[in-house]
Amino acid sequence: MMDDLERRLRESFAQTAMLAPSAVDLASAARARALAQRRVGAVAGSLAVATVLITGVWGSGTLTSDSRSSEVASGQVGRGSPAASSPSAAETATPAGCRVTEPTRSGIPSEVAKQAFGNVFGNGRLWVGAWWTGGLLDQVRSKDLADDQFPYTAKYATWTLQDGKVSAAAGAPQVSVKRLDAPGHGEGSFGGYATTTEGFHFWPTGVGFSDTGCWQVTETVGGDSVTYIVQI
Amino acid sequence: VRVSIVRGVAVQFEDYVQARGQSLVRFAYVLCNDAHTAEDLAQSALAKAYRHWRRVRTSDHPDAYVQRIIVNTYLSGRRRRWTNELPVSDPTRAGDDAASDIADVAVARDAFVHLLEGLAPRAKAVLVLRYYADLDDAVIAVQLGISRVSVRSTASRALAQLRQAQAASAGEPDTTGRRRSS
Repeated sequence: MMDDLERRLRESFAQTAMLAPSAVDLASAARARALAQRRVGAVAGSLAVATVLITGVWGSGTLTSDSRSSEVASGQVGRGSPAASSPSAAETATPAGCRVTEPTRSGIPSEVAKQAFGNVFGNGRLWVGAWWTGGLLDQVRSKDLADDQFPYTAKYATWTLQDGKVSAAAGAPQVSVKRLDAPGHGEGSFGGYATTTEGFHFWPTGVGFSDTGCWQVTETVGGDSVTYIVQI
Repeated sequence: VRVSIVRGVAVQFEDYVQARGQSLVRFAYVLCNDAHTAEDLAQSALAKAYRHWRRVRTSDHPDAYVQRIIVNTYLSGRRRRWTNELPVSDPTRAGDDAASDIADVAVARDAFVHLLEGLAPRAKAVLVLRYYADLDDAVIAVQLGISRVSVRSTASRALAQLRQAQAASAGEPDTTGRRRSS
């Protein structure tokens, strides 16, 4: 028969479990594969996936929350300002009218392509993992282990390049998050620049959203910016 | 053909991670009570599981296989950060404390959790497997590679230690009838 201590143990473990990080996503699977393949020396086409992401350094290196209205068009990338003259990215309108940004299909620097698992989006010197185009989005929407303030969160990689090489020289990007279709609170954060034993480098990036809806995320560093829109 | 086969395996593996990954991180977190370590443990275990994925996925209990790896990695004390990332700064320690995770604070306030951290790793692992994973002693014995008797005695000693620690922290007589010195 279970006594008080044993009941307490069950409760404590259950409560602790609810506080566990919610960082498992397809990138985790990719990472596991990459680690495993690296050890056994297996190389298999697209599965030699170099990966990405992110978990260990999830935090609040730089945190901004942008509740201002913005002139930034959806899915734009640019230099000099968020609404710079770089070509607009493709977008797909959801039934709710959210013009979700399509991932970049061409012109992806090899340095980024070899580190990315799945789609990416960006411009010449600033690229992000297009997490909203993969299975991670479903997990973000599931509100598993929801946080009261930001129930929907995602982690992904941001790459900054200099002279065609992934580099931290430009410093940590800033990230702002705002809801487009209604009031809402968003947050973005960057962890410290990460280096993996595979020789990959990226800025671990996190975004949080207070509600489901249409959201715009803008990352800027130096004179470069990337803006994407996601339907949570 | 080789690529197709491997891709198929990977899809199944991704499905598994998608479905069960969070559960594994929770399990690891209960075990180690540290977010980063939990992610390390889960990721390392998944990497090992992937290498033997055909065997794992056809087993009756894939979770048990991965959980065993997590426990053994935890007990081995040879924790390896799953990403092997070397951040130049630790954002979780940067800035003011207000930025720290509320969840961590909640855990820190839980004195009972601290008592659990006073247990030997193997003792805690036995309790986690028994009271969180709901495994019976026979299965725990297999998971840990020890005898059923050892599982029972380890659990018994751990529970006794917790009772004693609880009594001591409350300033009440412990199971030996002594009162904690102040």
